[in-house]
Amino acid sequence: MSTPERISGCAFGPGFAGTGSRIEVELGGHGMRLVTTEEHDGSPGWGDISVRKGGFNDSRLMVEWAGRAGRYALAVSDAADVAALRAHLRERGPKSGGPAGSGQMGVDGATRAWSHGIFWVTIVLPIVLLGAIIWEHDRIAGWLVSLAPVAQERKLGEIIFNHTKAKLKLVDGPPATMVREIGARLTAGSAYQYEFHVAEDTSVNAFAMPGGFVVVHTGLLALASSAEEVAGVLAHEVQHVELRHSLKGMAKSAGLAVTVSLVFGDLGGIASMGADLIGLKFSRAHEAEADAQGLAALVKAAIAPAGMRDFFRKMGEQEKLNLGWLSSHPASEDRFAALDRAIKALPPAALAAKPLAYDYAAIKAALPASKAPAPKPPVPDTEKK
Amino acid sequence: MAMDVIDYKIYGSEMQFVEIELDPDEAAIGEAGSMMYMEDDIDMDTIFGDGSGGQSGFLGKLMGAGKRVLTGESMFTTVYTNKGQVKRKVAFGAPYPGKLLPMELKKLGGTLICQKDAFLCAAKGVSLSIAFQKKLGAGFFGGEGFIMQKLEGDGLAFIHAGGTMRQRDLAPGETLRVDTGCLVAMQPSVDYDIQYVGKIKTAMFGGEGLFFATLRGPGTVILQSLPFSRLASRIFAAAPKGGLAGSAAGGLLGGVFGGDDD
Repeated sequence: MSTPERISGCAFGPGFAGTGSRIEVELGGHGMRLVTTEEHDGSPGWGDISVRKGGFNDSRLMVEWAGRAGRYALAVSDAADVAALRAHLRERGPKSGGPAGSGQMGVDGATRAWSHGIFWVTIVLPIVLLGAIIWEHDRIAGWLVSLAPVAQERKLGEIIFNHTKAKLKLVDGPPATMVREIGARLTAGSAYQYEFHVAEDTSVNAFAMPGGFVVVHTGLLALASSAEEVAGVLAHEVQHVELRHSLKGMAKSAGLAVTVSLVFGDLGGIASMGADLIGLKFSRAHEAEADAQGLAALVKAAIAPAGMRDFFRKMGEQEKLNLGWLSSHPASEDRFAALDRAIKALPPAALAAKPLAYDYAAIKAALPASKAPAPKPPVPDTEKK
Repeated sequence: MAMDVIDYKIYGSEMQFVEIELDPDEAAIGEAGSMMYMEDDIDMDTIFGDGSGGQSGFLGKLMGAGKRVLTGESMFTTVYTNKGQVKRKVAFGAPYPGKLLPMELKKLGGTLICQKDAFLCAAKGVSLSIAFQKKLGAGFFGGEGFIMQKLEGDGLAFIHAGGTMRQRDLAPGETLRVDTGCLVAMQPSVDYDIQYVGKIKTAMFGGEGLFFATLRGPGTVILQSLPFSRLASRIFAAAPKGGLAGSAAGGLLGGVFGGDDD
């Protein structure tokens, strides 16, 4: 070769800029000669340099060598220059890690095998584990929760109830008495000591806390039109306590959060959102379970189950938005349909239960914020249609 | 590609904005919604694409815009041109607590790879495109995802990141293990990969997850102390959760366990 071939690249190392200096390099017979006025450590021979693919996405050819002052590197990105350099390397055959090698940390075979092995085990294994936890969430949470004694659960519920009691406006009177009596009938023989309360709140809601604290909002009582409907809601809430859903939910969400953060480290919001969505899915299963078991409890307590089903139809009419996936509760229409199917499967004797002896119209009138200024005395039978 | 040379001044310490001074007929481009104020004679025009002239034809521009959406920017860029006869100023504000960094792309070799959404504003002529991460491991566990931004050109560009910034020049072969998410920008000569943490106990309880992001020189890297996603998730975790309000018969009382959400 009469005129040495020239390529251009970005040089790094002692004497060059920290962000790299653009220089030209002559490819000669003995090695590379850096064409630059910067002070640097001579020209490396072909035997001194090592070449590998590096940079972002292995987009550059990195030529590295060690000089007296330290390590140097030349990053070549232009395709033509890379080809020219490779041609020279093939002829001279320098000591190299192989231009085809990627910029991995450990270059020898054993390290690479180990790192690949660990890599795959640590991706596949956590995903399989995560999948198993999600699949078997019920059994795992159930086992964990079965280790907690009833007395401790009661104490936890007390703490939560005392904390929420401050925000609630508890009311007494005929509605509260009815709720307590129906509740006592539903929970006869249970391991838990129940406390039923009515809170003044126009929203249609009822909830249960671990250990047996159940609160019903006056808004819910106002929407219902018979004692059987209220009994249906109470039966559902009681099942949340009996089946220890609160505790199970806590165990699940804690366990899931641990697993997700274990694998992904710092994915921040995405991890917690994913955990939330999965948590919502768990509680939907709980709601379906509470519905089914609540129905069975009503039948056992000889209360007409149709009320529970009819209440959800009312709620379905109330709900304008069908949130479906995002809501923690299956839409009321789905619950209505499920209960309807279950009721149709019951023996006829269960359906013909004696109606509850409450005058619901009077109870409704006794609710605070109703149009009547004061609780009315019981209304005679001629009112019933 | 003609590049406008602009003067600037950065104001503020932890929540900054940059005031760019444009000569007559010079222009700056800004991320949609980042403009803070502008003087008389500055003309604001929203264009499809990034104004670098790199794409031709409608389909080319559409592809370019689509790629930019993937990088966290909007499909449109706003160009602020000084149509007057004297120097005029336009300012751009950073969208969350952190620092603004002026990057002279010429000094950095013409290309800079940044995290998604890092771009704030630049001289007209800087082109924004996608830098697609091909290594599966780095994409999944590196903290930056598979899509990063690539800024190309010879002019001045401003990027923003959370917390405090640190620029480090890595010598050839020098390695830095970085917490995932803390990388803001780097030269394309830097190797970006992931590395297993090494010890099971550290992996489980160290709080960093199973992998580090590993940066290997040569080249310059810019790191941030507080990725915005971490700040946001801490705020979210500390916010009171609405446990009792909501739809019928709640059984789950959130917020009792509380704790760190990182």
